[in-house]
Amino acid sequence: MTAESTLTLATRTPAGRARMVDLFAAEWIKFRSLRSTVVTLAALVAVYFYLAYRGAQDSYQVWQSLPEHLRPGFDPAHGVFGGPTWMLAMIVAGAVGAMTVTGEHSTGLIRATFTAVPARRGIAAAKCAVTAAAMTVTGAVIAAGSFAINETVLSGHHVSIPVGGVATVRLLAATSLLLPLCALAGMALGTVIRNTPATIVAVCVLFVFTPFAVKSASTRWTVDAANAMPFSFWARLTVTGRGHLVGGTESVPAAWTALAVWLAVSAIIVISAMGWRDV
Amino acid sequence: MIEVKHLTKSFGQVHAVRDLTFRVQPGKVTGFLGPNGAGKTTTLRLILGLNTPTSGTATVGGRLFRSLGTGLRHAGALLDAGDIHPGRSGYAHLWALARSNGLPRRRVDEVLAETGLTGAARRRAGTYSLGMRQRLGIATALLGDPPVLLFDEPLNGLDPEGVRWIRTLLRRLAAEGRTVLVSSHLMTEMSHTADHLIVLGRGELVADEPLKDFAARSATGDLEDAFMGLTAVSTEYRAGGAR
Repeated sequence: MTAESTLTLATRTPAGRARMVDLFAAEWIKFRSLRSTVVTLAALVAVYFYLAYRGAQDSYQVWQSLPEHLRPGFDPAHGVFGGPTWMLAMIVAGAVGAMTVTGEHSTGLIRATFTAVPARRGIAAAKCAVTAAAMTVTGAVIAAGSFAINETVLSGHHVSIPVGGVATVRLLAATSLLLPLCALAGMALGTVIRNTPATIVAVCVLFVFTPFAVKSASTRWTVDAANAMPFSFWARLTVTGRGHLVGGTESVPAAWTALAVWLAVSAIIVISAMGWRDV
Repeated sequence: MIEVKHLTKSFGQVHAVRDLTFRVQPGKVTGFLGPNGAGKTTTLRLILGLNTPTSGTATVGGRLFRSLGTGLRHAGALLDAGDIHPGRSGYAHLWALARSNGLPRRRVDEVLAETGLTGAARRRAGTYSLGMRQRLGIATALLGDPPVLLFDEPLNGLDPEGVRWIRTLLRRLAAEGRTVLVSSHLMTEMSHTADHLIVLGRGELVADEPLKDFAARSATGDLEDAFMGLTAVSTEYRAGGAR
């Protein structure tokens, strides 16, 4: 303990508005300094690389069992980029996003954050941007790695898959963006609910239960609603085969639009709700 | 300077704070007293823009705190020693907050040294004792070298050496010309530290006067006696059910 002051006014910018670059940096320090977040994302990558390996092997089994005339319509990516295993990534991304908000509320850190930056919109926007960026990188690693594993396994069995092409780029982009979308939706739920367990339940309901519940009642309206759910439009964007699509499947532009709307609406909810509520 | 004008905050039917008006002057330690539930913490949160007032205003240095981008430069606050994520190190906690205000990394080292936490800075805050969390909260308050400081029960969990350190620190911050508002339940501690007192009872202002005037309200000249006498009617929670 020093008896005399070591305090000096040491500043880089004049007191006043916070610079966005500083807010991004601050939120990035928060994001990366929680070991649980980093471990969770690393584990998620490892799990999906394993699932990609298994999915590719299953794909090969399916391909082998197909009669010759059906093989041209076979979607070689579907065994890896499809199916409900991806709901795990959606839930984990949603939970990680939610906890960037609910973690601050439950610990009281939110009060320190808002005392440091009282004009809240900037810090809310920075939090959205940093979380989305980190989850996009994680999503891109999972997407590219899973694709490479699938390609390696299938080509080892002499199954040709088209590596280039619009469909492949679309598949990689959509899978990279699935995680930030779910994280932002989780943040939006967390901002409104503020309680970690309740928010994670809400994330599960939103991503897993709702699509099935909506789809089970099959009217024109419910089909559209189901298509607007993240799992549905992501699945649409990951189709690379030339097979026939079932009726009611949305167009690719409609799927991209739904993805953009989810990202935007989630960010707007976070920034506006965080902006005015008492903490 | 902190200026509070006709400040009212209601949560539903409950008036946490009602028509409060006072000023906290620079260069003094102002004690903020009141029984549990008197509205001290709510008032501090209203000053810091964490809660929105139902009516009235609170300003820091003449400005609404909510309008500021770099709060640490204008006011430092210790509200609750628990306001830390337990999974983050003390260093990362301070560095993130400093960075949000454009403060250099050197400031983090300085406040850690100032609060005696340098050795524990890399440990996760969840492993800290209450006294260490309290020191980390004070380090947070000092980060931006602010002209205004608000401390809510800063002595909680501190050992005698820590109590003495806080007392010296508060006196020094006031001597440097800063505005220092400190809430506490510890009357004897306030009598050692404060120059001026603002006393709340049931959300209303009960007294706003120099410490010596307040103490003179009791026949014994004792601060605790004066406080008990003044707040007897406004104490909301009391052991034994006596009113």
